Amino acid sequence: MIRNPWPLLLIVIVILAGTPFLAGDGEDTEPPEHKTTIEFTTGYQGSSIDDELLRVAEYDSVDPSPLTGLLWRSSPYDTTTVGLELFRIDADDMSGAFELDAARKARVEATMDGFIHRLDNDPVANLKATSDIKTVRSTDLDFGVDHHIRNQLYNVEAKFQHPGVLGLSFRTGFRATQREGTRQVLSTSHCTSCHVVSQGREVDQSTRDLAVGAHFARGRIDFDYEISGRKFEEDGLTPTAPYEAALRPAPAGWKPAEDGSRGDPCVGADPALWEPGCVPASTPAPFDDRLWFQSTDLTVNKIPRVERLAHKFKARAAVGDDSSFKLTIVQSTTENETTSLEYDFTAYRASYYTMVGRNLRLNVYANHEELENDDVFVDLPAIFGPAPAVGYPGFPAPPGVTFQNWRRSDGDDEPAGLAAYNALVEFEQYLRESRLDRTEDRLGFDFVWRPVRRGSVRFGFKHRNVDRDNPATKLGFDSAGNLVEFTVDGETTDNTFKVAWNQRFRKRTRLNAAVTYTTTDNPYANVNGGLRQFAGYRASDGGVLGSTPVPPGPRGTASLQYYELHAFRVADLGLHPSEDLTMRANARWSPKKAKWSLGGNARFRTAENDELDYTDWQRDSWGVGANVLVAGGSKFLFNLGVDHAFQETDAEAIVPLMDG
Amino acid sequence: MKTRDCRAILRKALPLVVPLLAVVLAAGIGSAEESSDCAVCHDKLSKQFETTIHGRIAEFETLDGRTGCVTCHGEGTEHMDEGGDATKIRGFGDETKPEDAAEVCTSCHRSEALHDWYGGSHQMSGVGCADCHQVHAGPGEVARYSETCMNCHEDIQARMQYPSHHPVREGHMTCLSCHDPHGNSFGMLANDERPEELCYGCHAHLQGPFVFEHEPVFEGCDTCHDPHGSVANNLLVQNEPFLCLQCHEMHFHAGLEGEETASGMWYIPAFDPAVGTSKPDRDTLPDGMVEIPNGMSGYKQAFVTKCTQCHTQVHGSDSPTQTIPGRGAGLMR
Repeated sequence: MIRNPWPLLLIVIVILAGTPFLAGDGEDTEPPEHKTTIEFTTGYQGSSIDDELLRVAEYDSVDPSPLTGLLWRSSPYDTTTVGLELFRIDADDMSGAFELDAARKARVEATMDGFIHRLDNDPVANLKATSDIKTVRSTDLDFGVDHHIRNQLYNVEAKFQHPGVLGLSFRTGFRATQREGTRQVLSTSHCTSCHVVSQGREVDQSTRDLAVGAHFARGRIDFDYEISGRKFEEDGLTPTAPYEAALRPAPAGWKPAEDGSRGDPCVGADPALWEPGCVPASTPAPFDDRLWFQSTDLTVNKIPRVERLAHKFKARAAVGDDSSFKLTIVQSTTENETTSLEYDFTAYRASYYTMVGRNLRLNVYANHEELENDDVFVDLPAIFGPAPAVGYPGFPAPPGVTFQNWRRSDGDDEPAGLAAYNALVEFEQYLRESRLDRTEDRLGFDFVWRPVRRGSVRFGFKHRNVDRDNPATKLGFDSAGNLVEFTVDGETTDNTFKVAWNQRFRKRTRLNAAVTYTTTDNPYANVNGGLRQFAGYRASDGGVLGSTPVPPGPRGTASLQYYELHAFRVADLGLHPSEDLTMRANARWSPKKAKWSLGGNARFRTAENDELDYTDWQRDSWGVGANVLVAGGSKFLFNLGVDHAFQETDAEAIVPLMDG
Repeated sequence: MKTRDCRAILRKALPLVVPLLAVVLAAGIGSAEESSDCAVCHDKLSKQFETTIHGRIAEFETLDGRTGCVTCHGEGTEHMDEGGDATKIRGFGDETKPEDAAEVCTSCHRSEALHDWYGGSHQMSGVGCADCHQVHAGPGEVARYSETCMNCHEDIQARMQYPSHHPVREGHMTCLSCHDPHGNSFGMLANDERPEELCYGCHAHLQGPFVFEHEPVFEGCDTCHDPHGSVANNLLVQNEPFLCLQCHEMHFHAGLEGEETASGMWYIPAFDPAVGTSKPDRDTLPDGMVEIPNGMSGYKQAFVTKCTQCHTQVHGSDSPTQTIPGRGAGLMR
């Protein structure tokens, strides 16, 4: 049952109480005709779904229970109609609707719906591994808990029209969504010991949407304006997670303490005389942590409050008998109230529709969109304090071993490549320019030819251009051999061609089929997706960035893994296709005067991207299905179908060679 | 729902209810023009028609002020005089072109919902109003939205049966929750903004904007999700980690070879003693050892199974992650 249906019920009760006042002004010559319809439905629903299959029943009620339904409709006064519909399956699954039509001057529709959404609970059992000085482990604090969210949706829409003002109507809508329950939250404390902790999180989210609009139609012109606002809040307690002390394995010549810390240095210069438990002299030097924080509890999965305001203006003008011009302007602002970041969206859309000939239709459209998000200065030292010291008192980390050491190696022996790298990339304080900032334009047309009365062939073309203001950067060398940071091309252009066929043979057979082909120039990709050596660089050179050799570190390699990882992730990877072909077909046939019909469908899609610098991929998928639909009036519907789907992706994945 | 939430809803709803009631109570009763002449022959249809929204329509709602049967069928005098000759009145049978029928409908239906009908996919493809709407049907006989759509879009219906899907087949959503069959300024979606804004209507907790971003989120939710249904969980177009690996290399720990300790146990200090708190740890054994059973494949199981076990905030986050090299942008908090 909806946990608290009072808001909706109150609205219903108040409006019902008001209906006697709608009896009119006494001028009616005929007595009011009172018609009332009441339907009551009952039944029982059962389920054989067990816990193992909940994923395919994530919205179903799995507890057997009686179901009840009520439909009440009444016309107490000549032109006033009131209706109420309720349907209940179980405590979490219920819907209702109310409508009032008051002499067509005011129309109200209210709906409520409640349902449960069952969620996964990952046992995190795969997170267990160990090797020399590193481990992975997991702790499941909510093992076996049945996480689910109860969704409750309330929607009220009202429309008003005054008889004295032809063509002018007002509308308002209010939508409330409540999501309550628990779900799994994972947190990871890492570096040296990766520890994933699973815990439950309280969910208590509310979304409120309010919209007010007006529509005016006069002659050949229509105008419509709407202002809408949304407020989203999460009142569930933000969970905290433990961020543990990094496990610092003892270096050679040290005896680790029982708590896993480095312990104390072993006494004596001769390793042979070291006490039992000391790390042998031949052991490679350990690495240190690269953490902003540890030994503390911090919030995880913090969900911000969001507020947005949108304006929408639409206009349409009929031009001649069979043509019309439309214009839409949309402006919205969305704010993360927790961080005060906001982005603005503005769109201008125009289209022109006309009948070119008796059987030819043409629609031409153009869209221009602008998105602008706030930049934010990320100042990690301001949040967490200065970057943690490297090494330990009395045992500073060996130079060249840790990330911080490289980053802070400002002595005379600092490699030139590293200095250039440091000058280019600031890790601790930087301006985060949003990737959302962009301008997007679309231009296209649809051309339809109707050679026969119930058939049409449609040709469509769309050209889209996305120009990103702040595209990603990656490192490389210029023609003079200097290390530079490249800004990649942030512009994507695609062209889509579509041919569709829609045919009906009387009312017994209908067919539709479509072929869509899109070719994309510079499809979006993660330009820092994979590790890739620069041309001319060999690992045996020992040079981090190729230009200047870096002295080998204590672990026998010059490569500092994190350093190299970041610097050499220059291979672009992406899952947006450069070519995309989709074909689909649907058919349905029904015998004459029969209550059943037979349907079939087929779909095929092949997509590939051969524009990536180092890798290609291709994905093929297809599916076929058939079904029988038996519709015995509005109260009975039986649908039996079978479907087969197949997907195959041939992609190259980049496997890292370092182990951290 | 908590009481305070109930109050909050009421507080928000009252501004709507009060003016609504005011208008309702202030409104007088108009009188709909009866179609009694038609009812002489079409009595059954006329009775049913009276209960429909068209049967209740008021004069001020039509631009020419006409209501009843003649609103759509036109003047019927000749039809009656000729003994009910069907050719003497405007009909909407098979012989009528969909666009001709739609023209009659759109002469009145010019509101915001029909604003973009002309030029929309359905109109252009020759889908007429009567293909989805039952003009003479009374309450309770109107076809259910999604089933009407599935008559032509069976390929979508099939995908709605996949293990991961929106609750359409369960009746908690309809195609109209996301689509506008009458067209819109941006295709057939029920939204004049970007498609993503439609998703945020229900998934507002993912909207942000966030300090730490995940770029593909801005390229469209359909980069990773298939809203019509998928075999992979969470409507993903592919299962993890393969989806992630199309844009990212494997984690740098993935290549690490694990080892199996002789006892299958490994000593781990559960928490830093400096914190001074002891938290429950189901896997911590009495002697302070934890079980690490996965042997040589341990790191592959841990790092090449599901990226979101650690990178949980793939839609964005305001909280910086733990490591310095990731610049706080690891999307793990």
